[in-house]
Amino acid sequence: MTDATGGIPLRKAIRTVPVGVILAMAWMIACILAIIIFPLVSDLSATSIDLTARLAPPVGLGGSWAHPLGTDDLGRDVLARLIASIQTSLLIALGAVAISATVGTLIGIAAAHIGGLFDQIVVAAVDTQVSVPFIIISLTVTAIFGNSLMLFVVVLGLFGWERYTRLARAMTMAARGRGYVLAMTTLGFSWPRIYLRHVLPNIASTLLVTITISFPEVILLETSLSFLGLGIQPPMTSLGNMLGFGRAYLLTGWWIAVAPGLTIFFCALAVSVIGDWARSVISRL
Amino acid sequence: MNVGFRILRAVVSLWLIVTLVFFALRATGDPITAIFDPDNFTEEALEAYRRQWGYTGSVFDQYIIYVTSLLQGDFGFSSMANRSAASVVMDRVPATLQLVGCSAFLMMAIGFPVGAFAALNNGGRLDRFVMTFSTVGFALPNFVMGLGFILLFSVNLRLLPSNGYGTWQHLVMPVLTIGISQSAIFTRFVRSAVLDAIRLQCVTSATARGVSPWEVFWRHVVPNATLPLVTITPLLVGAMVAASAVVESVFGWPGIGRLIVESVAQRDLAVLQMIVMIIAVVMISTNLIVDLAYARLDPRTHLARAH
Repeated sequence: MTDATGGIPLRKAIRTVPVGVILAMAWMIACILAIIIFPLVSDLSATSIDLTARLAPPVGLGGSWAHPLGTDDLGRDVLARLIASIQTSLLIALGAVAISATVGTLIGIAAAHIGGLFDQIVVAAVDTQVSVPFIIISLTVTAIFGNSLMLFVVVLGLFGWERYTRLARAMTMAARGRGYVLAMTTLGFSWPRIYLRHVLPNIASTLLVTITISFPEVILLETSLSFLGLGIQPPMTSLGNMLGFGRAYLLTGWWIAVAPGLTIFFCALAVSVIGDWARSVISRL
Repeated sequence: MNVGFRILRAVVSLWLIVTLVFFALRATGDPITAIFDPDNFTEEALEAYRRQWGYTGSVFDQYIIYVTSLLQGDFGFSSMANRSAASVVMDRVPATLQLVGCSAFLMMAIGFPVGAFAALNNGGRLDRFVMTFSTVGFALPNFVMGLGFILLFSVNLRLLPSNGYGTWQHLVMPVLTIGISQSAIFTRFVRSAVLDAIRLQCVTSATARGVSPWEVFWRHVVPNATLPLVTITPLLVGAMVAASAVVESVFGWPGIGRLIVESVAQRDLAVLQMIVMIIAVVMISTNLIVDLAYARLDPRTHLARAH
């Protein structure tokens, strides 16, 4: 992995961005722009029902520009629903990653700081979490909490906490042995200050790498759960539940399922391509 | 760490999961009132169901009863099917084993040769193609791939049934879906294991001695590459379990995965608890076996202990 020329300056790494990464960024920017601009320029709504225009095909396949990507079984515009879904799915994934990164890191630092029994419990919890696939846990937990959006985000926010905990714990333990930490404790600085101002910046790049790995996984997890009908519930729409409902119309209105399906694929692909690239840039710095 | 300690830790992990799931599932109150609308049922009827499904007494009392009956091999009563949870779950096991077994075979049939060729072609066109395939495969969720197959094989070509179980035709699409999506990750593991093995000194020296490439590959590269692959087995088992939960629902495959989704929707706690426990047992014991087997398979760990 190490480059023969040694460290490449950040500017050069950014100037030589691969084509794939540029395409991925273009896709993500297009999605974000669509979320912001579409409601301003179009009067199509994700929820308005037009029963006279049920199952209209997309433009180019017999459809009209009134509904560029066609309509669904209730005559709702597929493009408007798609954009609303992208917004829900991306926001939920962002929220979930923010929660798991924050909570996981804090637990890891606390375990390393407090040590003793607390540390043992954290390590046991991490081991236990690793031994059951997360989708099974989240399926089980949705059974309890039902259909609350906030709780759904919190459940997804549990995904991957053990990665951050493991990392933060190991790196905090290593940092505690360093001279600068020792110097600051002798000078009388408080522990929260030392961790936040001095230890955290040192482990930030590794944590960022973990975030780039987790983000596409959370998108896929959310869409899987919503697809199974256990995540986002109507009238809200997400890419997963749109696909789940579209599945019943594969024969008569395949576009209802194909539009969110391809979008999930492109979003996950774009995010992981960008993540891979960011990781290689960080590791070369 | 000795064997006894590892087994103890595995048992503690299992107990933790069983306990957490039990209390988590009861955290939101009485499951009976979640299933039945209290306005439409008499208190006697609700009480009768409570007794039948073991929801009487405090949560802690229920837990004690649950654990004692678990130890006697009793997994509780399924509210959804009106018979023992064990029989409900066991009915579904063969379908899942069939699906996962065939998919694992396909995953390896793709992953081993493709990964090895990519590694031998390190940096070349084939290698880059394989890595791209792997990235794409990771981003393509299995339910999207599954629906794609249904569109192609069932809707357009009308070759395969989109839903159901029984004949080999029913097996094709679910197996393709899980096998291909898992092979995207597995190929990457095989590639890096083979790459690491190629760089070993014994390989360089054998090549220098004039041993044929074929023999170097089978005698030196393959044994050295197998070892790291053994350690990722638990990871693969976990990924298979997760994949079958979704893919079984896509294709209406009557296995454990679809049963989880059904039992969540019906709030059948006994079935749900049993499935989570089975999955935990499978995962924890795979981890344990791999841990223990690794020490046996790698002579260096013996040497390290002897010194």
